[in-house]
Amino acid sequence: MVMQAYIPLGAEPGGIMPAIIGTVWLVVGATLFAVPLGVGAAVFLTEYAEQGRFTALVEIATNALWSTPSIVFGLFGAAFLIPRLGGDESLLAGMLVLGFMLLPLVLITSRESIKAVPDEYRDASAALGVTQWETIKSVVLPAAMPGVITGVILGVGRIAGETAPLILVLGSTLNATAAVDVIGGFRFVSGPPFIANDALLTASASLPTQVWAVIAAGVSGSPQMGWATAFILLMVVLTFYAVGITARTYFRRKLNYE
Amino acid sequence: MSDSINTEPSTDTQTNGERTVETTSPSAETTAGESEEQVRDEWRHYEFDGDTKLSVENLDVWYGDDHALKDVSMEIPENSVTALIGPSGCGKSTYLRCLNRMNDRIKAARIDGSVELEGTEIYDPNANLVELRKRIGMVFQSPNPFPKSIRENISYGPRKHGDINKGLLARLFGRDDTEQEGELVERSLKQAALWEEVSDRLDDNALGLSGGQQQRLCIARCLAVDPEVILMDEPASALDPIATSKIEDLVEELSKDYTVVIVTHNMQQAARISDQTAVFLTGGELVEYDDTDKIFENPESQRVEDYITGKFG
Repeated sequence: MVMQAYIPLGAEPGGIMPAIIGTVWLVVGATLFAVPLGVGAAVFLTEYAEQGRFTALVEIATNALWSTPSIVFGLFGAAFLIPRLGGDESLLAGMLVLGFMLLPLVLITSRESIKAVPDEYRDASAALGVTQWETIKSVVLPAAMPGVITGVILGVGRIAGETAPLILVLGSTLNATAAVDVIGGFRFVSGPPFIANDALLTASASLPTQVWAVIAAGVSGSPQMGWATAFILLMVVLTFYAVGITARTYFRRKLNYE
Repeated sequence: MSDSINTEPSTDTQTNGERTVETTSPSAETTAGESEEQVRDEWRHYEFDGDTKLSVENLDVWYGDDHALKDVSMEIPENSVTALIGPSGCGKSTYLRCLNRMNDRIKAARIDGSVELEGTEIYDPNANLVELRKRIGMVFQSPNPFPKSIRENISYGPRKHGDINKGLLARLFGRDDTEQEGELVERSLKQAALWEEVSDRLDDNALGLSGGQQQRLCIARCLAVDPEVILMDEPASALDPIATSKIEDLVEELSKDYTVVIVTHNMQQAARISDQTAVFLTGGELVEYDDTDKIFENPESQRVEDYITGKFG
């Protein structure tokens, strides 16, 4: 692992846009990673697995992971993920680390909301000759959706402002003037998995690390920039909340007649 | 199908229906549900004209150590209404749930015996549960529509069985069955006598309907998969008298084309709508099974007479 000196001293930050884009991609990537995995695990644990020692153990482990200090997740990323992702700090490593942090909460809240779906729905569906998996897909998960989204909203609120693990895995590009171009970074390759993205493997800026660097670590000369960055971070998090709450309202409307 | 859902065994597992009458009168023995009366096989043997739809032989059910249903054998005739009556805890709902293997979903339940649908054993290890439950539909005690629109509730079964294709993929391949779906929804709702009331709001959420309408929607949902047998587990017990009478009319109407097996607590209801009645008494025992008129006017068993005249239960 190549640990770079975090901030090139004396360099001026290259603006705030790279950090905004970085944070948005981090949250999107973490959510895409954690939600399918967390919801899938919740479905397995509540609908399929024998309730017993194994599920109890998973529950304890999940709760423990949710209260694990974020720097530990960062160290896990630096020691385990980065050597397997090309050896350098990268946006992808940041996404995965934040995804691992989001995973326990998604799992806990999904389990609770799947358990809360009345058994009458499952009975009704089974009596129509519909298989268990189809029932989960078409009845149980839609009914559990608002609860799942609540969990994601709470989790995104936590990971969007996470700083410590990102210092370890995201890499330093405080003076970058161009944002990572993730969408443009996709290209096809001849071997499996046939798709590659170099932008995901490059370092990126992010809002919380930039706030930390400018205000606390004293990089660059203008503290105003740090405060502005903090304000923008709040706005970005609020935007994520708004998206989540809109989605939750949509699914609740579909379930309720009011 | 191995369900991990821990459905509580239905209330029928608790033998709370029997009330041992503590009285000094000499007839105490016979008025209580637990007399020494021996059940005779001829009481349970019912001769009927027409074809047998379901044939149950020596069916036993245990919930853990609780012997919920004891050696029940009965034949259910096609296109008729068969009522199952008895005090709570007598095993009638357990029996009903055996007929479409819904008891498989209760982990603690152990079932022994044979149930044949038109000569095919449904407890065969190779039996196809999906096919079975398509042929034997079920309506539950409390209305349980899905939190979806009325239209989606009706077309849910056929869509899952691939009889109706809808959605983006179907549209792309030019196999969109929106028209067929519309016809199916209209036909099923008309059969369930609900069409007039909801035809202008098919896309509204089904949970916005009244309890009686929800129950008729559940019947329509069951009819949409085109079953042969309809099992009803006290379908009117959560409904007011007007909604109940609508359900009763509907049951009589359905018995022309379907074999209906209905569990009820309400003896007048059983007398009104059924062709033949089976009486279960405490302990999961089938005591008498005969023409409804015979059961209500001149039962063989003293205990059945006591039960239907309201002396216990």
